[in-house]
Amino acid sequence: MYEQRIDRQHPGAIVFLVDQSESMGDGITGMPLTKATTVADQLNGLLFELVQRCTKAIGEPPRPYFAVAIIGYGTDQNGNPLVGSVLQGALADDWWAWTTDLAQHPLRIEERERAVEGAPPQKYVMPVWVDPFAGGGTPMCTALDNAGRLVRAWCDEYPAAFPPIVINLSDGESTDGSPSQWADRLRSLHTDDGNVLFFNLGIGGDDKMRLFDERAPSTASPHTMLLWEMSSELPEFMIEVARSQGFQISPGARGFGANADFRNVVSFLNVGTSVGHLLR
Amino acid sequence: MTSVTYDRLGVGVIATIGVTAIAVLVVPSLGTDWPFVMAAGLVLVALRSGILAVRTATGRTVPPGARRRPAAGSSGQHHHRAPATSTAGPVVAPSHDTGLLTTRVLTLSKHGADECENEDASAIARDGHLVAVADGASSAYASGEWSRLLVERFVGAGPAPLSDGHEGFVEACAQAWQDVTALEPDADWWAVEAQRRGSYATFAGVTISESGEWEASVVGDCCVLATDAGGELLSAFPLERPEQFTSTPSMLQTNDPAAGLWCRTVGHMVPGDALFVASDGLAEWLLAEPGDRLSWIRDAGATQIEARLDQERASGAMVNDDVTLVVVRHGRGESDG
Repeated sequence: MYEQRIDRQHPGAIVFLVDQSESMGDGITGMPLTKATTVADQLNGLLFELVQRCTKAIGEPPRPYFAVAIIGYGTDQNGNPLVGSVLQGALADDWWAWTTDLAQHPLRIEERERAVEGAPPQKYVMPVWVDPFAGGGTPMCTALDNAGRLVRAWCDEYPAAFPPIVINLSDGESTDGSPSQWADRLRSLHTDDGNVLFFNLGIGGDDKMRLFDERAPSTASPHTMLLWEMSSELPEFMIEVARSQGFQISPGARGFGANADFRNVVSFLNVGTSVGHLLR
Repeated sequence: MTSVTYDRLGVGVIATIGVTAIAVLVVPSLGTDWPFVMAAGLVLVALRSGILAVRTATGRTVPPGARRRPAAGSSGQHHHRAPATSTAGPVVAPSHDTGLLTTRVLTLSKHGADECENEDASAIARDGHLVAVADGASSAYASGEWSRLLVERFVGAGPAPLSDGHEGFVEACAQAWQDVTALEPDADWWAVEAQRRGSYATFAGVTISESGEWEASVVGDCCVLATDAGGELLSAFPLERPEQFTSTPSMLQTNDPAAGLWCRTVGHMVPGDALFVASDGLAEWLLAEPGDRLSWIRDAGATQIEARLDQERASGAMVNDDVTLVVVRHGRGESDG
């Protein structure tokens, strides 16, 4: 299980569910940024890395080894769920965006500088696909239902592929009911290589920070407990990646985090998307 | 060359007919035997003219025990890499036997991938006395070019390829990679970033002396396996068991020539012995059952090997990776035996 290499015949699928509720506009611990900006920056960085991983041959565009869906969820002024793809422009027509298309259709390309030891700063370009947005409620059930339909079709189309990874980034409780049963349905979907991996990260909050717990955080708030219950166990190779980043975790550790600061958001996404070694 | 051959043939045929006619006139005892004299003369002419030499090069008329010459146009150095265009089936070079050593090369791209996506490379020079295999990292940019440059430069650098130091060798290869991958100013952002990040490959280079002493220099998990005439594993380097293979081997890097962790070992070949220089996926598979698999792959036909390795990779019994193998066999073992 969770061993299938990723190639054109067996592409990888990653779905990000991004909470766009009002409170995502609040600041995050560890950086002078809002939670929404932090999430957008990290998603842009991840997409950049995915595209680079698929750039293999001279004179050839990045290969279509991954499809990515970024589903934003919030509500309108009347509280009605607003769930849709965050990707814009040429990528807005489809829920999925292949790495080949992501490379060619960012929203814009920004020029930035990176520090180089003993030399002038080096200029580089940073494509941007996702801009921060915050407003309204947290219709998590609708978002999970939407993700489930997408992922189910994917598993039907690529039954031998590595199973899709669904990552939910949220800062609050669901406002359209308990997402528990939707999470169960999502995790029950599978390919021949294993069940869908559903990881949850609660961003911000005043309670104790948690990441990759293998035991239920029974003393934590009901919301934190729910996030843990909804989350899949990390496959062995993701546990290894987490350990290499300094986390002392055991088999059974879940793709779960709560009350995350900036650093934990970065670590969580690095571990939860660490499928680079599966590329062939 | 062809015109020279036929010019010689024409002159020879005319001369043979003329000489036969004169002989019949001068030596009456030849009588009715003159056709046999002329036929013998024509055969001699054909041999001299190279007509039979052409047949020899096809291999059909090589008598048992005779050694095949290098292919026409060979400079004595052979590179084996997936061709630039897709082809069906494996790239398998014929056995190459020039005296002490016999070499054989097999390379297959990943099951389900095009041949042009093969990121392994191998090279052989000096009649098998220099051999190299490299395995480009799958997630790196232009890693097929990187592995090709490493093996080509190893076997093309003279009898002691690393005499100027490991770092100098990698640095020269890295410069060549920079030249090969240089971009136009208006290149796409992903290509600029990929070229900046550079490429990675594991590597194994082997030198074999006239007396059979061999030395292997390895970075990462390309492996050198030594067997005796019976196919029994004598040594495996640098990894000895399948469970030692990981997803994070040491690699040679275009951006940091000092980065690879070089390992070195030496050995001695006697007649019948063989060295297997293999990329990691195949080495891991061979080491799982070395008793059966090493002698099998040494002796099996190319089609047979391709079919089995495809099956093993499709079933998951073998990791679905590019496969490259160079087998160097101490040739005198076969003729002696």
